[in-house]
Amino acid sequence: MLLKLIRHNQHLAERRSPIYDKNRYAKVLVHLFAAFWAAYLVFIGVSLSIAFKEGMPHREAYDSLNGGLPLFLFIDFLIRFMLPLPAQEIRPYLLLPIPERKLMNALLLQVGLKLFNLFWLFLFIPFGLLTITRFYGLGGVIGYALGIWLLMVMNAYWSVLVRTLMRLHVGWILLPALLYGGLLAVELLADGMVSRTSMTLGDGIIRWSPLVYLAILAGIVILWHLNSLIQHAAIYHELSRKENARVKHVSGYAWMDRFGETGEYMRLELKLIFRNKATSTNFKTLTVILLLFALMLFGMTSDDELRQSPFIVYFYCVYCFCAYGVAILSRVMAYEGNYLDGIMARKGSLYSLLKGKYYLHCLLLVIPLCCILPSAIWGDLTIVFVFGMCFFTAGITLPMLLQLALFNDKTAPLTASLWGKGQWNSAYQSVTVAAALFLPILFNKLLASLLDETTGGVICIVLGAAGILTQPLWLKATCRQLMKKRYKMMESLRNTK
Amino acid sequence: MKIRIEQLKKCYGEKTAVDIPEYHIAQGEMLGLVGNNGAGKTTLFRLTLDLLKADSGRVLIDNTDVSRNESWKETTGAYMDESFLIDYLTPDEYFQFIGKIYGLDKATIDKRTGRFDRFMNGEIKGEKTYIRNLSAGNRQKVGIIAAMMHNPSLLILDEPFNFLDPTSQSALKFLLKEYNQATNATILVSSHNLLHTVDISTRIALLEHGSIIRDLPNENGAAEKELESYFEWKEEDISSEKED
Repeated sequence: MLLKLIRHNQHLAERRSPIYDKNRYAKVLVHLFAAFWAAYLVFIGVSLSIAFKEGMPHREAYDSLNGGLPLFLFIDFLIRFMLPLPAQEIRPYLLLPIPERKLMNALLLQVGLKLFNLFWLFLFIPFGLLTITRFYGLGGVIGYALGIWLLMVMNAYWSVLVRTLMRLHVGWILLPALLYGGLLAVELLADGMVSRTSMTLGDGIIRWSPLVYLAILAGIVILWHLNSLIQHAAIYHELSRKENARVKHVSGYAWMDRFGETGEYMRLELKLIFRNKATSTNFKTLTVILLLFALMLFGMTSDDELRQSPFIVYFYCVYCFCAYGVAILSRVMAYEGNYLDGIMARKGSLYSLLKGKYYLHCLLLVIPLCCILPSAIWGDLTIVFVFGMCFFTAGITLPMLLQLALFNDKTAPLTASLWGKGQWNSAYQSVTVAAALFLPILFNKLLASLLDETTGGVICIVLGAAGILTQPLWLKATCRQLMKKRYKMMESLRNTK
Repeated sequence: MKIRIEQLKKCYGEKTAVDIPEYHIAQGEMLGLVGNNGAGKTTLFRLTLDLLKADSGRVLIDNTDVSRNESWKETTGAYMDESFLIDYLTPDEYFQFIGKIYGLDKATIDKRTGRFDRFMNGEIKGEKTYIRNLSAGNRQKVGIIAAMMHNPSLLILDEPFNFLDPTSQSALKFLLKEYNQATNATILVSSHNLLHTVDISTRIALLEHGSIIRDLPNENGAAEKELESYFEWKEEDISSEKED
């Protein structure tokens, strides 16, 4: 009864969340995303059955996969960091006349019954049907599916335990680090002992071995009990949890003063990026990817490889230059929706805001430029090509992304992750992002096939420079359009906060 | 600045949020806007600040239609709610940002915010804390100070006494009255607190279902009795409650 009530409330909260309720596109996208992953897991399951059969003929395919079960459990453990904890969900019910333990048990039960625990079966069932049926029949596959589900349930309780402890004190990160590090060490030092044990475990669940099932169930019960013990402390910790209120260092970015009012908005954009979870996580992740791509470009651009795989070179290069724009600028106005009334109540703010954003993202291009230039100086990329990409991004791609100001009408929370609620606004956003990433690749490919690479680079520089120089014109036009539809936009952004 | 409202109407579906055929607010007036929840106070302010599109009619500030020209924004200050605050800035950064948007230099901004030192009670200025981590009352103070910092000729504050402690409420009343007397600015304040509204306003407009049903002059608190009588929980309300 209590479980049903909690589930009903959670369902309503999801369905009626303003950013979801008003965003039909987000609803479709969520379902598409889930369907894509389900199909992808099926594909992996089928591919693995073939790969193991061909690659390891001396061993049954399911034995090979079972040997890698700890790896799947580790990936599942990492994915679960995105899910909420029972101690975070209990708050609305705490003052109701229901015993706290009963509430917590209902929430813990819900952790085990979550549909997410079944998601891996999209991989394991097709795999089992192709590899297990001929030895153990359908019963073997059913046992396999049941066993995998129980392992995922156990993993769910393990994940809740670790995450709850980590929220109490960050030092608890050592617990999973020691476990997974220990397993890896044992695997490497003890001649594959972990994978052999895992293989035996997998074999046991296929054969419906009572001992194996009892062992897994015992694991679930122990983890449930441990969770139940620590949740009481976790609830009070969650209730009194507060963001670290003190700022250690307040950056003034005084050098931006020379840009006048636009400089103020550039500074604001920089602080938007670094002081909010959504944007700062994106920025840091993208910087790491950008560095990796730049390193790969540096290592791989020998003449032969460039000729063999120009698409990869173009993709790495375009991605490096577009990354910040695609991840942050593509959410223009969606982030500003959090304080748009304050912006709109001041004269000319909208124009300065867009201008500041554009200038800052042009300046940010210095980072990929510095990362890729070594490949042009010491590697096989040409300077013209690199500058062509840089100018094309500044003059064509960024202005194109800024046009999303006219379409992004759902406020994106500044504290959510990139894949969190409200980060994807509309189909226009997805299409523009795809165009920002692939249009330059196609354009360069076309230029390279029609002309030589140097001429192509020069054309990109000229086009980009034209976009940069005509910035006052297109920016004012965008702003005029935005002012025309400001009421609709403001209302929508306000309603989705 | 003077305000003129002409045939202003705003509806949400069947519900009329604002319906004011004609209303004038003279330069230097301190208008208190009162009414129960859903009476249309916030909607009227949003329409005045061009943050909402009117279904019909218009608001003119110094004869400028607010939806057609932005010039009035330079001399208008407003604080409605937290959607006016950029909460990932510290209070000082926010003051500097807003000040510079209005063309003030750092020294002037420091001097102008200095007027509010007592109001801030040492908990805002110089604090290395993001606005989002301040208490609700201190966030309210940041918004009010930012709205007044550029010495606007028209100041619009929606429920400014909310979240403030009694001392700060009193300080705010004093600040608003003093500002009005010193600059002859027009001030529009909405509030559920009748006592404060009567204390500071020279005129009080009572809103009900989007219409101004009473326009009360308030020299020496003359509107108090009438407002009390309107908002009082009467015998007939109690009996209808019992019937329900």
